Amino acid sequence: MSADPSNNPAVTTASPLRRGLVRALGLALVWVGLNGLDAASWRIGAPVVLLAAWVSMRLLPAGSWRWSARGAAVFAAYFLRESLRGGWDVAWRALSPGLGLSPALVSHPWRLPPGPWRLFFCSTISLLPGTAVVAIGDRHVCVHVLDNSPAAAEELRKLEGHVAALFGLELMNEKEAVA
Amino acid sequence: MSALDVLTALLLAAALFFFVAGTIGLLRFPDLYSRLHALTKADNAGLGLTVLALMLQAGSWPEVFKLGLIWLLVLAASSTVCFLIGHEAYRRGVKPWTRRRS
Repeated sequence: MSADPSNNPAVTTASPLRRGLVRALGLALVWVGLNGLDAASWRIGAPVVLLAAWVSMRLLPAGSWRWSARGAAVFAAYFLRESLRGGWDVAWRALSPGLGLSPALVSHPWRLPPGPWRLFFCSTISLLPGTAVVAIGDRHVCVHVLDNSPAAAEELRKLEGHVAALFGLELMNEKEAVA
Repeated sequence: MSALDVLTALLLAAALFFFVAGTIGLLRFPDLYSRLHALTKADNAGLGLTVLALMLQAGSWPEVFKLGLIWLLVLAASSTVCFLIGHEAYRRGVKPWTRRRS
Protein backbone atom coordinates (compact mmCIF):
# COMPACT_ATOMS: atom_id res chain seq x y z
CA MET A 1 0.00 0.00 0.00
CA SER A 2 1.59 3.24 -1.04
CA ALA A 3 0.07 6.63 -0.58
CA ASP A 4 0.14 8.98 -3.49
CA PRO A 5 -0.05 12.38 -1.84
CA SER A 6 -0.32 14.34 -5.08
CA ASN A 7 -3.95 13.49 -5.86
CA ASN A 8 -5.24 13.58 -2.33
CA PRO A 9 -6.91 16.72 -1.05
CA ALA A 10 -6.25 15.80 2.59
CA VAL A 11 -2.50 16.13 2.32
CA THR A 12 -0.83 19.16 3.76
CA THR A 13 2.70 20.14 2.97
CA ALA A 14 4.13 21.16 6.34
CA SER A 15 7.89 20.77 6.58
CA PRO A 16 9.25 17.62 8.24
CA LEU A 17 10.93 19.74 10.93
CA ARG A 18 7.63 21.38 11.89
CA ARG A 19 5.88 18.02 11.86
CA GLY A 20 8.60 16.56 14.06
CA LEU A 21 8.27 19.43 16.53
CA VAL A 22 4.49 19.00 16.69
CA ARG A 23 4.95 15.30 17.43
CA ALA A 24 7.62 16.03 20.05
CA LEU A 25 5.20 18.46 21.71
CA GLY A 26 2.49 15.80 21.74
CA LEU A 27 4.88 13.26 23.23
CA ALA A 28 6.00 15.81 25.83
CA LEU A 29 2.36 16.16 26.88
CA VAL A 30 2.18 12.38 27.25
CA TRP A 31 5.28 12.55 29.46
CA VAL A 32 3.63 15.19 31.65
CA GLY A 33 0.58 12.94 31.82
CA LEU A 34 2.69 10.02 32.96
CA ASN A 35 4.90 11.84 35.44
CA GLY A 36 3.11 15.00 36.47
CA LEU A 37 4.96 18.29 36.58
CA ASP A 38 8.11 16.99 38.22
CA ALA A 39 11.00 19.04 36.81
CA ALA A 40 13.59 16.39 37.67
CA SER A 41 11.78 13.83 35.51
CA TRP A 42 12.80 15.78 32.38
CA ARG A 43 16.39 14.59 32.71
CA ILE A 44 15.08 11.31 31.38
CA GLY A 45 11.96 12.71 29.73
CA ALA A 46 13.63 15.15 27.32
CA PRO A 47 15.92 12.60 25.63
CA VAL A 48 13.11 10.02 25.54
CA VAL A 49 10.66 12.49 23.95
CA LEU A 50 13.21 13.51 21.31
CA LEU A 51 14.14 9.91 20.57
CA ALA A 52 10.48 8.90 20.31
CA ALA A 53 9.74 11.81 17.97
CA TRP A 54 12.71 10.82 15.80
CA VAL A 55 11.61 7.17 15.68
CA SER A 56 8.05 8.20 14.84
CA MET A 57 9.30 10.38 11.96
CA ARG A 58 11.36 7.46 10.66
CA LEU A 59 8.51 4.97 10.87
CA LEU A 60 5.76 7.27 9.65
CA PRO A 61 7.19 10.11 7.56
CA ALA A 62 5.63 13.54 7.77
CA GLY A 63 3.14 15.18 5.51
CA SER A 64 0.99 12.17 4.79
CA TRP A 65 -2.23 13.12 6.56
CA ARG A 66 -4.04 15.48 8.82
CA TRP A 67 -6.67 15.11 11.51
CA SER A 68 -10.04 16.71 11.69
CA ALA A 69 -10.82 17.71 15.30
CA ARG A 70 -14.56 17.45 14.73
CA GLY A 71 -14.13 14.11 12.97
CA ALA A 72 -12.07 12.89 15.93
CA ALA A 73 -14.74 13.84 18.48
CA VAL A 74 -17.48 12.17 16.43
CA PHE A 75 -15.28 9.14 15.92
CA ALA A 76 -14.44 8.81 19.63
CA ALA A 77 -18.12 8.87 20.59
CA TYR A 78 -18.94 6.37 17.85
CA PHE A 79 -16.05 4.11 18.86
CA LEU A 80 -17.01 4.03 22.55
CA ARG A 81 -20.63 3.27 21.72
CA GLU A 82 -19.72 0.53 19.24
CA SER A 83 -17.18 -0.99 21.64
CA LEU A 84 -19.92 -1.58 24.18
CA ARG A 85 -22.27 -2.83 21.49
CA GLY A 86 -19.54 -5.13 20.14
CA GLY A 87 -18.91 -6.62 23.58
CA TRP A 88 -22.61 -7.01 24.20
CA ASP A 89 -23.16 -8.58 20.76
CA VAL A 90 -20.46 -11.21 21.22
CA ALA A 91 -21.48 -11.87 24.85
CA TRP A 92 -25.06 -12.45 23.78
CA ARG A 93 -24.00 -14.89 21.08
CA ALA A 94 -21.65 -16.75 23.42
CA LEU A 95 -24.37 -17.17 26.06
CA SER A 96 -27.30 -18.02 23.81
CA PRO A 97 -28.03 -21.76 23.81
CA GLY A 98 -27.91 -22.14 20.02
CA LEU A 99 -24.90 -19.82 19.50
CA GLY A 100 -26.37 -17.04 17.34
CA LEU A 101 -23.72 -17.40 14.68
CA SER A 102 -23.79 -17.54 10.93
CA PRO A 103 -20.22 -16.54 10.13
CA ALA A 104 -18.73 -15.93 6.71
CA LEU A 105 -15.82 -14.28 4.97
CA VAL A 106 -16.97 -11.20 3.09
CA SER A 107 -15.07 -8.99 0.72
CA HIS A 108 -15.40 -5.28 1.32
CA PRO A 109 -14.40 -3.06 -1.63
CA TRP A 110 -12.22 -0.13 -0.57
CA ARG A 111 -13.75 3.31 -0.70
CA LEU A 112 -10.97 4.88 1.34
CA PRO A 113 -8.10 6.04 -0.86
CA PRO A 114 -4.75 4.27 -0.29
CA GLY A 115 -2.85 5.54 2.74
CA PRO A 116 -2.26 5.00 6.45
CA TRP A 117 -5.99 5.45 7.19
CA ARG A 118 -6.64 2.05 5.60
CA LEU A 119 -4.61 0.39 8.33
CA PHE A 120 -6.44 2.47 10.93
CA PHE A 121 -9.75 1.30 9.44
CA CYS A 122 -8.59 -2.33 9.63
CA SER A 123 -7.50 -1.93 13.26
CA THR A 124 -10.86 -0.51 14.28
CA ILE A 125 -12.86 -3.13 12.33
CA SER A 126 -11.48 -5.83 14.58
CA LEU A 127 -12.69 -4.03 17.71
CA LEU A 128 -16.21 -3.32 16.52
CA PRO A 129 -19.30 -5.56 16.54
CA GLY A 130 -18.99 -8.87 14.71
CA THR A 131 -16.21 -8.03 12.28
CA ALA A 132 -12.50 -8.95 12.06
CA VAL A 133 -10.06 -8.37 9.20
CA VAL A 134 -8.20 -11.43 7.92
CA ALA A 135 -6.59 -10.08 4.74
CA ILE A 136 -5.85 -6.63 3.33
CA GLY A 137 -5.67 -6.23 -0.45
CA ASP A 138 -5.28 -3.28 -2.78
CA ARG A 139 -8.91 -3.29 -3.87
CA HIS A 140 -10.71 -5.25 -1.21
CA VAL A 141 -10.37 -6.05 2.42
CA CYS A 142 -11.38 -9.54 3.49
CA VAL A 143 -13.47 -9.47 6.66
CA HIS A 144 -14.70 -12.32 8.83
CA VAL A 145 -18.20 -11.52 10.07
CA LEU A 146 -20.06 -13.35 12.83
CA ASP A 147 -23.42 -12.71 11.26
CA ASN A 148 -23.49 -12.69 7.48
CA SER A 149 -26.25 -10.18 6.81
CA PRO A 150 -26.65 -6.97 4.82
CA ALA A 151 -26.42 -5.17 8.16
CA ALA A 152 -22.78 -6.26 8.56
CA ALA A 153 -21.84 -4.79 5.18
CA GLU A 154 -23.66 -1.60 6.12
CA GLU A 155 -21.65 -1.40 9.38
CA LEU A 156 -18.41 -1.57 7.42
CA ARG A 157 -19.55 1.21 5.10
CA LYS A 158 -20.55 3.33 8.07
CA LEU A 159 -17.17 2.83 9.77
CA GLU A 160 -15.42 3.73 6.54
CA GLY A 161 -17.41 6.97 6.45
CA HIS A 162 -16.37 7.78 10.02
CA VAL A 163 -12.69 7.11 9.27
CA ALA A 164 -12.93 9.32 6.19
CA ALA A 165 -14.40 12.12 8.31
CA LEU A 166 -11.68 11.66 10.93
CA PHE A 167 -8.93 12.16 8.37
CA GLY A 168 -10.84 14.69 6.26
CA LEU A 169 -10.97 12.42 3.20
CA GLU A 170 -13.35 11.92 0.33
CA LEU A 171 -14.53 8.38 -0.18
CA MET A 172 -14.04 6.96 -3.65
CA ASN A 173 -17.21 5.62 -5.20
CA GLU A 174 -17.34 1.87 -5.44
CA LYS A 175 -17.15 1.50 -9.22
CA GLU A 176 -14.06 3.63 -9.33
CA ALA A 177 -12.57 1.72 -6.40
CA VAL A 178 -13.14 -1.72 -7.92
CA ALA A 179 -12.32 -0.90 -11.56
CA MET B 1 -19.84 3.43 50.66
CA SER B 2 -20.04 6.62 48.67
CA ALA B 3 -21.96 7.00 45.42
CA LEU B 4 -18.63 6.86 43.60
CA ASP B 5 -17.83 3.49 45.17
CA VAL B 6 -21.22 2.15 44.15
CA LEU B 7 -20.66 3.30 40.58
CA THR B 8 -17.19 1.70 40.61
CA ALA B 9 -18.66 -1.58 41.80
CA LEU B 10 -21.35 -1.51 39.10
CA LEU B 11 -18.80 -0.80 36.36
CA LEU B 12 -16.56 -3.62 37.61
CA ALA B 13 -19.52 -6.01 37.71
CA ALA B 14 -20.35 -5.10 34.09
CA ALA B 15 -16.69 -5.56 33.13
CA LEU B 16 -16.70 -8.97 34.80
CA PHE B 17 -19.76 -9.95 32.79
CA PHE B 18 -17.99 -9.10 29.53
CA PHE B 19 -14.82 -10.98 30.50
CA VAL B 20 -16.77 -14.08 31.56
CA ALA B 21 -18.94 -13.99 28.43
CA GLY B 22 -15.84 -13.55 26.27
CA THR B 23 -14.23 -16.57 27.91
CA ILE B 24 -17.38 -18.63 27.41
CA GLY B 25 -17.36 -17.56 23.77
CA LEU B 26 -13.73 -18.59 23.46
CA LEU B 27 -14.70 -22.06 24.68
CA ARG B 28 -17.99 -22.43 22.82
CA PHE B 29 -17.41 -20.79 19.44
CA PRO B 30 -16.81 -23.28 16.62
CA ASP B 31 -13.64 -22.07 14.90
CA LEU B 32 -10.54 -19.92 15.19
CA TYR B 33 -12.05 -16.88 13.48
CA SER B 34 -15.14 -16.73 15.70
CA ARG B 35 -12.98 -17.22 18.79
CA LEU B 36 -10.95 -14.17 17.82
CA HIS B 37 -14.18 -12.17 17.91
CA ALA B 38 -14.98 -13.46 21.38
CA LEU B 39 -11.59 -12.38 22.68
CA THR B 40 -11.18 -8.97 21.07
CA LYS B 41 -14.68 -7.56 21.43
CA ALA B 42 -15.45 -8.74 24.93
CA ASP B 43 -12.02 -7.73 26.22
CA ASN B 44 -12.27 -4.33 24.61
CA ALA B 45 -15.54 -3.64 26.43
CA GLY B 46 -14.47 -5.39 29.64
CA LEU B 47 -11.16 -3.59 29.93
CA GLY B 48 -12.77 -0.27 29.00
CA LEU B 49 -15.25 -0.61 31.86
CA THR B 50 -12.51 -1.74 34.27
CA VAL B 51 -10.41 1.28 33.35
CA LEU B 52 -13.41 3.57 33.80
CA ALA B 53 -14.10 2.07 37.23
CA LEU B 54 -10.47 2.52 38.31
CA MET B 55 -10.44 6.10 36.98
CA LEU B 56 -13.19 6.93 39.47
CA GLN B 57 -10.92 5.75 42.27
CA ALA B 58 -7.75 7.41 40.98
CA GLY B 59 -5.98 9.84 43.28
CA SER B 60 -4.62 12.20 40.63
CA TRP B 61 -4.99 13.24 37.00
CA PRO B 62 -1.78 11.55 35.84
CA GLU B 63 -3.26 8.30 37.15
CA VAL B 64 -6.44 8.84 35.14
CA PHE B 65 -4.36 9.59 32.07
CA LYS B 66 -2.22 6.49 32.56
CA LEU B 67 -5.28 4.28 32.86
CA GLY B 68 -6.71 5.73 29.65
CA LEU B 69 -3.40 5.21 27.88
CA ILE B 70 -3.30 1.59 29.05
CA TRP B 71 -6.71 0.98 27.52
CA LEU B 72 -5.66 2.49 24.17
CA LEU B 73 -2.38 0.54 24.09
CA VAL B 74 -4.12 -2.73 24.89
CA LEU B 75 -6.67 -1.96 22.16
CA ALA B 76 -3.90 -1.41 19.63
CA ALA B 77 -2.13 -4.62 20.68
CA SER B 78 -5.35 -6.64 20.75
CA SER B 79 -6.43 -5.49 17.32
CA THR B 80 -2.98 -6.13 15.82
CA VAL B 81 -2.70 -9.61 17.32
CA CYS B 82 -6.25 -10.40 16.17
CA PHE B 83 -5.28 -9.49 12.62
CA LEU B 84 -1.98 -11.40 12.73
CA ILE B 85 -3.61 -14.61 13.96
CA GLY B 86 -6.59 -14.28 11.59
CA HIS B 87 -4.38 -13.45 8.65
CA GLU B 88 -2.02 -16.36 9.26
CA ALA B 89 -4.96 -18.76 9.47
CA TYR B 90 -6.43 -17.31 6.28
CA ARG B 91 -3.06 -17.57 4.50
CA ARG B 92 -2.81 -21.23 5.47
CA GLY B 93 -6.26 -21.85 4.04
CA VAL B 94 -8.14 -22.44 7.28
CA LYS B 95 -11.79 -22.52 6.23
CA PRO B 96 -14.23 -20.65 8.44
CA TRP B 97 -16.98 -22.65 10.09
CA THR B 98 -20.34 -22.00 8.43
CA ARG B 99 -23.84 -22.83 9.49
CA ARG B 100 -25.14 -25.60 7.27
CA ARG B 101 -27.92 -24.29 5.06
CA SER B 102 -30.96 -26.54 4.91
